[in-house]
Amino acid sequence: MTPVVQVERVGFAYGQKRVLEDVTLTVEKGEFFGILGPNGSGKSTLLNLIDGIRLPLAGTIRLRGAAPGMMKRRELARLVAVVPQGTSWMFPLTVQEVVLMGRTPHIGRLAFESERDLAVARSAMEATDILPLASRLMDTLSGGERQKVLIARALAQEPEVILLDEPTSSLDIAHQIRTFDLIRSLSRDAGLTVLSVTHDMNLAALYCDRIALLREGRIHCLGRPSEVITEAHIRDVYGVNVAVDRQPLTGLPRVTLLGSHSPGQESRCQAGAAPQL
Amino acid sequence: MEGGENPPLPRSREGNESPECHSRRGTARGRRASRRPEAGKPIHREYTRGRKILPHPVSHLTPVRIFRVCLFLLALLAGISVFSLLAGPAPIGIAAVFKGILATVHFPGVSDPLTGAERTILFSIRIPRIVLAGLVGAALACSGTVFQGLLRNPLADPYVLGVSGGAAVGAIVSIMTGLGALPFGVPGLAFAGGFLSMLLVWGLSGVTGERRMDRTLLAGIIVNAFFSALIMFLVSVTSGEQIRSVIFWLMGDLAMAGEGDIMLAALFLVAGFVVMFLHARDLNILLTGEETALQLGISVKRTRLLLLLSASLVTGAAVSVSGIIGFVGLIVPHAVRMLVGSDHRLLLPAAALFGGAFLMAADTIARVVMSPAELPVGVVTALCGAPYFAYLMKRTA
Repeated sequence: MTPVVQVERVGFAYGQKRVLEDVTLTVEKGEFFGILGPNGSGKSTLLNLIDGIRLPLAGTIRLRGAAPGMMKRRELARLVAVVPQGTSWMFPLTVQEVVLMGRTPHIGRLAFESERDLAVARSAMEATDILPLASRLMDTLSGGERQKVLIARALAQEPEVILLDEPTSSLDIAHQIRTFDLIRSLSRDAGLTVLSVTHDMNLAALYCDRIALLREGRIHCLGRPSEVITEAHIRDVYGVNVAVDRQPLTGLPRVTLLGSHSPGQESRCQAGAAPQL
Repeated sequence: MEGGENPPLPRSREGNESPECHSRRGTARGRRASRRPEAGKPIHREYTRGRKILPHPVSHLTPVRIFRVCLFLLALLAGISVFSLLAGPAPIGIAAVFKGILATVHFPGVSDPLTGAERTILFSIRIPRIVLAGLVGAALACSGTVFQGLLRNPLADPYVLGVSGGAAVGAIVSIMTGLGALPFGVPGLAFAGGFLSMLLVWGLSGVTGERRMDRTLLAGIIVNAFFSALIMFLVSVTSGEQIRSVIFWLMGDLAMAGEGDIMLAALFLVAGFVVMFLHARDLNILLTGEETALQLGISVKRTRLLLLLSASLVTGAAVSVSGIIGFVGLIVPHAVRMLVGSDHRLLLPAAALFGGAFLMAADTIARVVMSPAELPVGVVTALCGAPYFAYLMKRTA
């Protein structure tokens, strides 16, 4: 196995506020790696560090052996694609224009999109079921459709690593599953390495090879879904009571929210895990 | 996935697909044994699974489209310039104008029908003024387009942001101190003043990754008010011929520039426009935010600096020959964006041509509407622009 993303004893802070401390993890080529944790536990910051948007204050990050902060942005963009949580659309851009932007790191400054660029963008739109929307303007789309456009743009980048920041938070269950199916098949078949931040533990259990559970900037535990998603870990990290049992069909851990049934616990329902039927 | 399976196992995927998606993609997927591709193998082939990729259904930007749009706008520009050439208190017929121009370039077999006075009116007054209107209009429209894209604010333009005001202060200072006598003196200092005010706006609004539309505008208003006051102060403490009128700097006028000034402004404009056009695609991506631009491989800091410099340069050049002409940089990018979309590879050249045509038309109106008296062209553009600005503000709020 070749390690693609190596995070070693990384620390980061915004001013005085420590966000990440002593985070160590390695993601192998073709792995689907999930990052779970409450709001503000440093998940998005970790993605920013891996993508070189921010530089770690302590420790090292390696992408295929090189530090992302030292690479040229253009090279990095051919290696890593990011699906952000959301972007604002002030100007009239069509879906196709946005997806074609994913080809930017592959196109020369003065060149126009080649047939191949168009074909890649088209198949990315096809794979995410947004081809019928190709000529629509971004600001006329629903939240879920926009999210799919951003996923298609990341696919059009033809990256080796894809970083997803809650990629399916505004998708319906059919599109959640289709999106994760697509990304997993890319990781299995094309060797795409996936790091995905998500709040949906059941989805994470279904798709992730391994999961890191973050708590206040530290890795609380890291391992296979069945090792990480347990009642004890979720109570420790989120401070809420859940029931975790085995889903009878898949044998995967299943999280059921119980609400604040335990006295003294805050009832912040951050887990977002939808109860399965 | 569960229990006994090690994390990244590419070959055993068939067994544990979730059942939902088999009906759609399962057959195509099963057809060929999956191999782990080598690094660099295009991923898209994996998810199209060997299906033939059909020709692209939606039109995209091609050089041919840019050429066509520019050709159309050039025709518009030519039409307006002919109209502008004929308009004015001295009646010179269209045939005489064309024959006169052909005779001047020594076209064989054409005799010059123009009188001496007519020659002077045509070649020393009208033509330089038309050329200047075209250049200044193009300059303001381009820099407005760039400012709107960079600040991700559809209400930005060099006038609203105070960049024009800063450039005017730079130009006045260079004239007062005698630095204007140096080569590139006036437009150079105008550029420096414009860039300085741009930096001020940037710093005051704290533009980072996120959209701070209200703050950018507020910062622009502050900077603009300060520089306008500074212009009036500088002009009122300087007497005599050194400084032309306050009106020239505050409202803009195309009648004052000499031919040398025009050549110099043209040089600056072309240089700035080349830089802008080279970064047109980067500008497209900056529209979606700086963080996204970084993730798509743009060196954001370098690109932003180059674009701010070139937009300030172009604004400075325009202001040094025409004073502050408002709202061209606001209206034209919007109108053109509605017509051709947001891709700057098309938007920038189209805005330049349309901006030139717009200011030529506005200047022609300014010359003829109260003929033989003239309005400053800034009055015409502001009369069109202010209501339009209000409309945009109402719509985007």
